[in-house]
Amino acid sequence: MLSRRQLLAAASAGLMLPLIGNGSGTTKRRLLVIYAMGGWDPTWVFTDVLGHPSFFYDQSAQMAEGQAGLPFVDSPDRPAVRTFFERFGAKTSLINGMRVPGLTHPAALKLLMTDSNAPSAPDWASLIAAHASELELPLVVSSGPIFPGPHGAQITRLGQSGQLVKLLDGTALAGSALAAEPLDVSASDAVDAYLSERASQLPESAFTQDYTRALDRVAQLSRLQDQLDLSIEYDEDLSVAERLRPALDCMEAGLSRVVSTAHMGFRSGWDHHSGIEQQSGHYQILFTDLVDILDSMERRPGLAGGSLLDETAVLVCSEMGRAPIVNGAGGKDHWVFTTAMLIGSGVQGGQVIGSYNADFEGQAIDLRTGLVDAQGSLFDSGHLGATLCELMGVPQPAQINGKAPLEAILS
Amino acid sequence: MLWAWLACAPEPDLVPLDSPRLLRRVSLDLRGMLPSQAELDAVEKDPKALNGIRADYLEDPAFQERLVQIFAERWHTRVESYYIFHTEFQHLDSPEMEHPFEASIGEEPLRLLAHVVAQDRPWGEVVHADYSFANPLLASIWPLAWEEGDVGWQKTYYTDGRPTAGVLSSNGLWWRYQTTLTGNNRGRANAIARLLVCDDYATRQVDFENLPPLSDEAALEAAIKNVPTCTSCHATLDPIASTLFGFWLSVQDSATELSTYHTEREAMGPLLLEVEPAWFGTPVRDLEGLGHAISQDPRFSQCAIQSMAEATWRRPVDPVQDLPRMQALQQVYGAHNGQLKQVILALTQTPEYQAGAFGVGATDQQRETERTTRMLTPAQLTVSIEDLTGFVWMDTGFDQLDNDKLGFRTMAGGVDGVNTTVPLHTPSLSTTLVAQRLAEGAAFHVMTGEPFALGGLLEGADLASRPGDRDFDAVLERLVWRTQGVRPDKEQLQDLGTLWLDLRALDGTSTLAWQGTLSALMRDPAFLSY
Repeated sequence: MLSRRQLLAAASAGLMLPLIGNGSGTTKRRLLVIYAMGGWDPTWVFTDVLGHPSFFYDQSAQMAEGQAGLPFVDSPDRPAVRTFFERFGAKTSLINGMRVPGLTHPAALKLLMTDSNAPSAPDWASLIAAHASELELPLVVSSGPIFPGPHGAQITRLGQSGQLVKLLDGTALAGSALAAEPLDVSASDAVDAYLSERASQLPESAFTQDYTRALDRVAQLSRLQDQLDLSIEYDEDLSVAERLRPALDCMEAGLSRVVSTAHMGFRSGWDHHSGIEQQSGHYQILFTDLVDILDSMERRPGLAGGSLLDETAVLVCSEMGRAPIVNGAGGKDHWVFTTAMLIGSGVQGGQVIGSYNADFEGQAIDLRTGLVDAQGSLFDSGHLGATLCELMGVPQPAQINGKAPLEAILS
Repeated sequence: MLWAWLACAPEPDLVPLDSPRLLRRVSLDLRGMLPSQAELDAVEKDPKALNGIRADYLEDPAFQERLVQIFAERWHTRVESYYIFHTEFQHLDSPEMEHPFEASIGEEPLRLLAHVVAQDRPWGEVVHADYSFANPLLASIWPLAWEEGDVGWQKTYYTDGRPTAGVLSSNGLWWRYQTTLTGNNRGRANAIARLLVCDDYATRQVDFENLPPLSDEAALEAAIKNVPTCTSCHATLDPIASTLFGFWLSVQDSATELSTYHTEREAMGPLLLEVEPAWFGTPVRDLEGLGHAISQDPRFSQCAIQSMAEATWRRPVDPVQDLPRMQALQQVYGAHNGQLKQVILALTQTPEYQAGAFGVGATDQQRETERTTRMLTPAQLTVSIEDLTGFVWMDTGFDQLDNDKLGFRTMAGGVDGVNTTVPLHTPSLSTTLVAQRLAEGAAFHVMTGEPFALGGLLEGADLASRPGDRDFDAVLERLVWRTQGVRPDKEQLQDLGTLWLDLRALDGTSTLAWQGTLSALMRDPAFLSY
């Protein structure tokens, strides 16, 4: 982790452009997005269906209240969930009954992340990163899905097994079957200088602009390598929290505005058309990671005097929910209503917004108050996008079609 | 005449590439590699030579390899996770076999698609063919006819009595597109509709709010049969799914179960789904019948043409703006008995394809949608660098620009078919780093060989050559011409010479100077774009 002194030294040397304190507050807020891949079942944690005559729910569970009175479904099998809500309930709001009208995982994921079927529509993370293009690493993808649209230049992938570091330091070539060695730093710098000059001599285009910017970013990141440890020992058992460490380092250092990652639960995802009870294990792992991640963000200094968590909003979501009834295989099938969690900076915590009705369908809400209102709007992925844009201070993209943000969740 | 219309329809706002750069684009798109110096010379001398060279490209074996890459971007079968691992098979239980195992499975249907196009077979054969394609690895794990000693990808036949329906009968497609016990092959049916007739049920607007309460499974099944909101999709989706139960699994992690077709389960479809097999209202007997019905659907050819247009134009087809072009291409398809190769040829003659810049009158929409500059894909980079230098970046059996576990496929802008489904079109930090290390590795490889020998990349120069020497400058000029399709001007040659001298000053050797200079040429924006 970069110390405050190292950070300031780097910033004063012109190597970093701190976000917070360098402009107005809302436009500089950071965003961490965690995708629970495969479709989670909200009844295990987020909403009370206990005792329902026909719905399937965790028989060991009972309702409990976390910090700030935030209700959650509690079970001795999922102690991390209790820990999370007791420690971070006041910073957390739940949005129940969010509609994501896709029945297949790819379609639902695309809608959740973009509110559009168009291949060229960017996801919320890419869109927000596009408004931080002055940074070295506007969007760091630790793992998981991405729909960059026209903003691909703003994306940096860490790689499934930490490949970015190996590319940076040249060890990526070490295992090559044919002998191959990188240029040393001096030679590499000479080549980069030539290429930078060369790009400036070509007719100006979006490609050459992005090429030049990418060269600059590589150079800046290379210079920061001594201060910023992006390396990590990857193995299959590494937790998402541990995998996120380099990305959070980038955020802490003011290099990144957005970080995204997938969360596969304890095995290969949340999609349980059989064995729905495995959701419990997924939630236990997810909330263990969330506690670790938020702990880490609380310990890390922000750029404006507080903690990194004070300056970062965290979205935790899944592309779909699961049907309330159990199918013939002991699982639950896809459902177009789900729950999202928003945590941290800019979020009015301690709230449950929205609700599921008796048929486990989302209910319309008043976006200003967050209360169920038959005359209101059914909260969907477009509203989620609008809310994130409002939270992050960026203009709404056309793909949202002018949907209103969820004012009730904004602090 | 039709082609003349395709080529000459007024698009005054798009400025075409000059002939050498257009040849380079055609070569990269049709073969995945750079044109030869002789081809560049020929086109420079006579731009009309492009027509003959392009025709040769379409008969080059590299065209078929390139088609595999093109289809992979859309069919998304080149994933890195299946129900079983390579370790399930004793003879594949080594780290070096992980990537070949995963890549081979996903490549099976792509090989069939590529064969049909490259060998001038009618496109309908992709859903009729009684054959498939396999390599020794697949032949060792699946029930396929195989001659001992055969190497590489070969046409072959399944021996388990499965229906003959081209890619619809391939294990590779259904290992990628799995189904669940309650999904009843509906996801697979949607994959067929999406891939073959460009009709994705998953993108349809469904009025979920007006569904009746679905409080139990019986209510759900009843709704699928009776509620208009549901039947609007299920009335046509379920009869397709009903044909696919020969690929139904009783357990998901058995190699035998996964590898073998189960004729005895075909009858489960009508039983479980309570519908008879059909393709959008046309009854079919079985999977073979489904293939024939698909090939008779007008959307089948339209979808193939649209997909090829999107692959060559590198942008989505606009159903309104591009309609005249699509109709003209449809006539090309019809006039050539459904040979997609002819459609591809026609596409490379369209102004959208040949555009290298926007004219002063270009509209905002054109500037937003048309790609006047494309970025080399990881596959194009791999093939071009190998062709140029002989360097192939392999690590522990993994092709490093073709995987994401150890390598850099998506980091280089490619598609993994799951998390990343659209290629990147512009440089990012990650793509730049991958290009850097690939170029450095290739340059090192060149300089540890015999680069100055006859046929070597630096033939004509030697270690004593210096910038300003005739032999040195001639080699540099040739390299720029070959790698970029542009004759370097004096200033560019001087800059390269200065770089060479700067590099030589670092350690006093010409080897490092050439290594760095070569790497620069393979990272040049004019090399990485086309």
